[in-house]
Amino acid sequence: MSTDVVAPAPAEAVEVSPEEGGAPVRADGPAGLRAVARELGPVAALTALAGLLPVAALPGEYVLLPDDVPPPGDWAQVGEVASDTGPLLVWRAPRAGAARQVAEAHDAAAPAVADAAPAAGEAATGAADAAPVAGETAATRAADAAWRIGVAWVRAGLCERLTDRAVERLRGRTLGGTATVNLPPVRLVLADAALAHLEAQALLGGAAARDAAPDGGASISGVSLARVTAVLDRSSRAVHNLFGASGFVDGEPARLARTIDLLGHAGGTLPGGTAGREGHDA
Amino acid sequence: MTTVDLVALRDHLRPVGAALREHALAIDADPGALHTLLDSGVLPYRQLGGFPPGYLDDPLRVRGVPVHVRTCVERAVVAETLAWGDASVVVGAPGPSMSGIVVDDLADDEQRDRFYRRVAEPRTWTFFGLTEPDRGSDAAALETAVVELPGGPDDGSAPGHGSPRTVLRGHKKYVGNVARASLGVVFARHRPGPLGVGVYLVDTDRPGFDAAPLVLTGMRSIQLGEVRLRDVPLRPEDTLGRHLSPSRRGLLGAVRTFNRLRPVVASLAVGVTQAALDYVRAERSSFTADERWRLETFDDRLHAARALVLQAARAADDDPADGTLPAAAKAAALDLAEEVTHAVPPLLGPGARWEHPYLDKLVRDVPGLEMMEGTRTVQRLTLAQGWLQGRARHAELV
Ligand SMILES: Cc1cc2nc3c(=O)[nH]c(=O)nc-3n(C[C@H](O)[C@H](O)[C@H](O)COP(=O)(O)OP(=O)(O)OC[C@H]3O[C@@H](n4cnc5c(N)ncnc54)[C@H](O)[C@@H]3O)c2cc1C
Repeated sequence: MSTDVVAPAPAEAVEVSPEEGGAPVRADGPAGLRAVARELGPVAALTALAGLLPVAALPGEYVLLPDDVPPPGDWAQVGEVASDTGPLLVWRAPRAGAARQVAEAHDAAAPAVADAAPAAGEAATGAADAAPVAGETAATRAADAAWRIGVAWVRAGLCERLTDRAVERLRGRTLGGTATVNLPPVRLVLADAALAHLEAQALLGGAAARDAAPDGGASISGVSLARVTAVLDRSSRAVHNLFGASGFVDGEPARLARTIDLLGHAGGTLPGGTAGREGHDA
Repeated sequence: MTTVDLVALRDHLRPVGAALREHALAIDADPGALHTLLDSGVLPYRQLGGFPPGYLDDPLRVRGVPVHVRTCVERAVVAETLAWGDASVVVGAPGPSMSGIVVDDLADDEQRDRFYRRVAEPRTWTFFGLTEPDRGSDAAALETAVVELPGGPDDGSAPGHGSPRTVLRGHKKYVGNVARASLGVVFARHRPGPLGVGVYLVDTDRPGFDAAPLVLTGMRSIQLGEVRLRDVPLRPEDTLGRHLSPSRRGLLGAVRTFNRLRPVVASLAVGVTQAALDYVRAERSSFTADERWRLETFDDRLHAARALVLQAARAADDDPADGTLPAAAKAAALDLAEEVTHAVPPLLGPGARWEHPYLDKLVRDVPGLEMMEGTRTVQRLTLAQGWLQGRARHAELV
């Protein structure tokens, strides 16, 4: 079963107020979310995402939203994540059956789907190829996929933000008189992070699919999204470790790293054959 | 070689690990809940603390044999079995902890007695004060200093009124249990150069010792803290290893301590990995072929890591000066723990990190293990250096 979906349509530019003064930052389509995330952090980036696309999730699945971005319909709040730029609320979409109304509400706003959207496999049941659950329409699946790809752009920018912060810190630390940032093993981590950021950007930009697709269309497959999630997971964990113990106390680096991690957990793969992303990219 | 039956020791402690699991989330939410666990009496922390014979009336008995948990192998088995329930409690419980190992390595008889007699009192925490805000991995450059103050008022720490006072001055950060500890060790510089760092046995009720806890993202019962040492009085008898050669005391001497601790940290990671794999199998009964294959691969790697960790513990018992295998064990165990704790939640569905908070706790705990006793990057460097020098090439992992 194909898991290809069209990249979220570049909607009109979204303006987000920066954290402290300065000119508003524009996100020109999903790719622009990366810069917002890098410069302004998760709250601004997810606000911008919600301005570009309708908030979406499959029945029973999860999204993280700033507290002034309302989820659709009768979603349940299941938690809160303290990001480095403010709280994010964790919402669960109504489970199968209760979701039809929400899906219908999305039908008008969701971007078009190139191929049948991914199967809604519930990982916990072990059904790798489950049929779509009741209440799940093609439009819901397309909206969900578009949202996840937007989240992946946000994560890509947040990973760069984390790396920038780590570099700042390690420029100011020394080991045997050498700046820690200049230690070869630290540089290797930074190089790997840079490679991860480049790969994520290329995949999210549809580079892989453009070459593969006969019509040259910019679609992003479920496999590509899973790969993006895996490389960002791995690199953000390695970069997080660069903070040493300072990244283990409740402060900005720890909050940013946790946000990256949980955004990936909630929306890093498309259901259906992409579960268990870790280990496939080794 | 240890004479303790390790299988019997594991079996004996399994119920304790299970009891720790029951308290794990409460302690994660509020480190103060550790007291509830201690009140419950299910954790025989004094018996597991590694006291030398003579300081406990009732040592642990496994199949009738007393076990003092003094060797690295015993400590590793205890750590792994209890970490299945909560790794942070293993490090956050009262007892001799890391300081005990440095005391064993460096203290004279009188200091050893002073330390263990005090710690044998119930609910007595210790601390190990090495890291500074600006000096973590770069311990050789630490800045906390032993300072001679000219003729200050006599506070009982110096022989007579008007004679110089020796004090500790500096700032330590990320030190486990420090805000609730009664005594512990402080690493401080008494002169420039690699041999200029000493280790001092310090009571926390001395004037100028000012410690406060930090809020952690995981391993919360460790209660990392920071401590400001504002001219804390030091006595000559506080200097550990004063009877040893300069190359055996101070940081160089403490290398043996670190080599003995590393397999224990690696064991904690093995316990956490086992916990994650057991958890997912308890919560889900059927898996796809691909998932089964992945879980079986993790099982295999876990067996291999456990064998490596045990071998590293044996090596540390035999020759604590060689850190090659302990470094390998820590790197391997942490690689696996990190991978498994992240791989398991998606197997329980998209919201597993909220629906299964124990798994989320495991994910948050592992980076703490990464930092304890040196990061994996540093372990890899140690391993490479030892291997190039011909060490750890003939380890037998059967
Ligand atoms: C849960 C926990 C418990 C702890 N308990 C204690 C305790 O009881 N007492 C105590 O004194 N300290 C304790 N620590 C602190 C711990 O020992 C330090 O975090 C550790 O030594 C790393 O130092 P740092 O945090 O300053 O990181 P840094 O030294 O700043 O390291 C930052 C990064 O640089 C990398 N790096 C550093 N040196 C090298 C090198 N030579 N080559 C390549 N890369 C390098 C590291 O891998 C790391 O990724 C604890 C920390 C944690 C998280």
